[in-house]
Amino acid sequence: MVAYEIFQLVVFPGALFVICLAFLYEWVDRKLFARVQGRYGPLYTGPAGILQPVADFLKLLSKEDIVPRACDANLFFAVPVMYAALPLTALFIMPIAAPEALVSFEGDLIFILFSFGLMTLLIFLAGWSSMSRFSAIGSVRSALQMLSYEIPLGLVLVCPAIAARSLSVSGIVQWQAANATWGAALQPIGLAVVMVCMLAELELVPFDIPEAETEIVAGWRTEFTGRRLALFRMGRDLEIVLVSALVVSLYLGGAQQLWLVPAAAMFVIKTAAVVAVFSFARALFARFRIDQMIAGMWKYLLPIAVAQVVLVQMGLGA
Amino acid sequence: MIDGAGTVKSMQERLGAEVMDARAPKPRRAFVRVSRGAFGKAVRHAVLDLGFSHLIAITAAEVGEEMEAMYHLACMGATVLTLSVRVPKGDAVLPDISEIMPSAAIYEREAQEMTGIRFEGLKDDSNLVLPKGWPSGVHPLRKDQTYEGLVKVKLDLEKG
Amino acid sequence: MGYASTVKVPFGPQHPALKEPEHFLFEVDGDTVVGVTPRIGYVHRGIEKALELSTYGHGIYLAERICGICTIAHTCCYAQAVEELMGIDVPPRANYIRTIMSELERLHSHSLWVGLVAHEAGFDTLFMYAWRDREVILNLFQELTGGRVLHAINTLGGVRRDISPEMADKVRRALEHFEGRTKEYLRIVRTEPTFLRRTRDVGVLKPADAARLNAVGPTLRASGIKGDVRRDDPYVAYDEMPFNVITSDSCDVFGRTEVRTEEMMESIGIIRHALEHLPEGVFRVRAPRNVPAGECVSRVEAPRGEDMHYARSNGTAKPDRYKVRAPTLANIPALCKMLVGIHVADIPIILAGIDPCFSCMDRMVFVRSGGSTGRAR
Repeated sequence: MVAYEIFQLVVFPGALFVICLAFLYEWVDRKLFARVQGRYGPLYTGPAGILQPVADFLKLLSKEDIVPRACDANLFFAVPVMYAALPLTALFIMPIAAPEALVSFEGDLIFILFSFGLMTLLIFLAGWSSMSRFSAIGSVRSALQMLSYEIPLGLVLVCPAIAARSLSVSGIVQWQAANATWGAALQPIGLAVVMVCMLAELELVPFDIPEAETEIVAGWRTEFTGRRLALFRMGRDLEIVLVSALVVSLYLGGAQQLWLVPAAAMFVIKTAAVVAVFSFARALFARFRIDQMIAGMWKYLLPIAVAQVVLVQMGLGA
Repeated sequence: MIDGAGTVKSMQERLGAEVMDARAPKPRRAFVRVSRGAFGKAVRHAVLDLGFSHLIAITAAEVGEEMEAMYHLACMGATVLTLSVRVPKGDAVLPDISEIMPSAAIYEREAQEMTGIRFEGLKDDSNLVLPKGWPSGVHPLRKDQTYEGLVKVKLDLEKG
Repeated sequence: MGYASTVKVPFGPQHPALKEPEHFLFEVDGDTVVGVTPRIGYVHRGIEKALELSTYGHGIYLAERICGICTIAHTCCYAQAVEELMGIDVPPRANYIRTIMSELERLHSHSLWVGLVAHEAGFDTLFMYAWRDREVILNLFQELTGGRVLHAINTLGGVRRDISPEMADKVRRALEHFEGRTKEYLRIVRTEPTFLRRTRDVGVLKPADAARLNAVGPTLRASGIKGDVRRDDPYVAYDEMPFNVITSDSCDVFGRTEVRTEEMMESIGIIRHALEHLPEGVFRVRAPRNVPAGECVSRVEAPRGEDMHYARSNGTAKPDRYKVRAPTLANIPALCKMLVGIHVADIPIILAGIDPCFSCMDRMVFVRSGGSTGRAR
């Protein structure tokens, strides 16, 4: 029994499976993004280039490791590890193979929200510790960006919890299963707001302001090379899994068995669809300027989020 | 709009004997050389009276023992007047015309570095195109500067 | 903010927004640029000196290499200047072929620019599309001249290669496709809301400033001033071509995008007209080796704006003085004006907005990049 639990934690649906998913979704994203732009995308490593993200990861691990002389060494070394570990930890709360997650407690939704905030804090520290002009601008932009999307995101994420009378992600999935409904059907506005906020959380176009290549090189990531960059990239991929898992769990019915299709397969299909939506979104827009983004978030997204909460409180969509 | 021949005529009428050489080889081209003393007057006449308000470039060239600065001015985009003035090499100083022509400064700085004609009154006469630390007496477009000599200057500069 | 009034932010010579090495020192107060100092000359190759040291026949190869994008504009300008000094008349067929080539070059340069400005705005999809469709023109160049980037089509006394009727049909078919794509870009740049947000009222250059600072090319025309050498001072066969000088009153990066995209439509029209009315006859006459003493000013409307060459001959086989003024240098004063008072995040898109070609601009100091080997860049 203990062996099975260890297997669950380490292999399926635990760490290994999740990391594989992270690489798979990076490929899905790159491939779709390329196809939309009329390019081929990854092509040579594995069938249709599916192993390209793994190859990139391994290549980066073997690359020269450069540490800027002026950096704050402790932070500079610690942040990449923490950045990769945090979404991995948070993913244990996500129901992947069954409607019940490996780890689940009343209030884990709050933990997820908190971990999003923590991710941004890590980004800020990463940029700050590398003591580069571009990194500093990138981290300040990242923090500013968080201040603008965090509040609408928090407000909207509470709505499914109110409807399900549970602050646990697994609880919300089970509530959707019990009522044979999807959060998206009940709270479409909420889903839209979450998708926009998540684009910003993941720093994707049109909100890739903290790493705007043409303005500030690679933003907060500028000074990171080799293993550290590999860890950052993996952390980013895991974050994409986390974000799409959260969207699927709260709004798209989560990991539920459908007829003969097992719950884990349903989860993968649904999250891949969410990733595809992100890829299309980032192919369709130009980048906003930071002031435009913040103004837009406060002027439009926040009122919409409040409206969603009011609707749920009035009993609509609950 | 004024044509080449009209420009030459107007400049001659205004400046009289100060025009050293003037011709209009094509309908939209005029070449007028004025004496050093009348240069300011000639620029003002061309720019303010005749409407040659677009400065295309300033070419500086070496003519024997003299330096020549040629101001290529365009009127309504069409007629190009090349207003030139010669100064002796020993006293190669011309007034800065960026008061009348704000875009002139960039070409004046270029000409100053390349040929050593000094433009009096330039606000910023730091190096615009030559590298940092370039020796002040070496002007690459002077005829006495050879290929090999310039390469040597550059290599010495890189060695520090 | 009681302390630290302004911060100096260097931009370049290495920076992802600048495709070529150039340096701008920005004085920034918070998020607003309050001053800018350009420092050019990082890619000087001493072409003016080199032109004085080489014969007129060699000079055309140097002129070809002043710029990789406006190579036809520069060779056209050079050939015109030298032909005028030599006193030879170019056959009409050569003039038409030069016109066709110049306009094809405008098409490829402008579509390159549309892609770049989209990239600066973070709109990579348009960047990929524009550069993919630009391949059509580059392939045409390859078939017409043998070279995709440097075409070596202009030569003293005419052009090097003729356009056969079969090639003309190929060009027409390619243009058909390209026209559809250009219309699509026009629709995208006019309607895509995020792109409009990044370009509207960004990098404003008022008409009065544009005229006073002697801006040229699309930068001038986007400020509502009808300045185009092709119309004002026709060269090659432009006096026989029907086309409109496109202007825009918006005076910002959006206007510059619109002007360039619409100019692509006009260029397609010019090429079609020129192919239709291509005169019969020879396409090249022999050029003499020596050139009588004289001087001349030659102007060409390069894709980036007015390009001027001044030549002075002294009766020998080499020019006495050869001056090249590329359009980017003329736009620098206007650029410095645009860059003051803007957001830091808008710097790349405004810089890209004038379609800078720094290696074109930096052409005259005799400085080798590495050691004594004469490596052209």
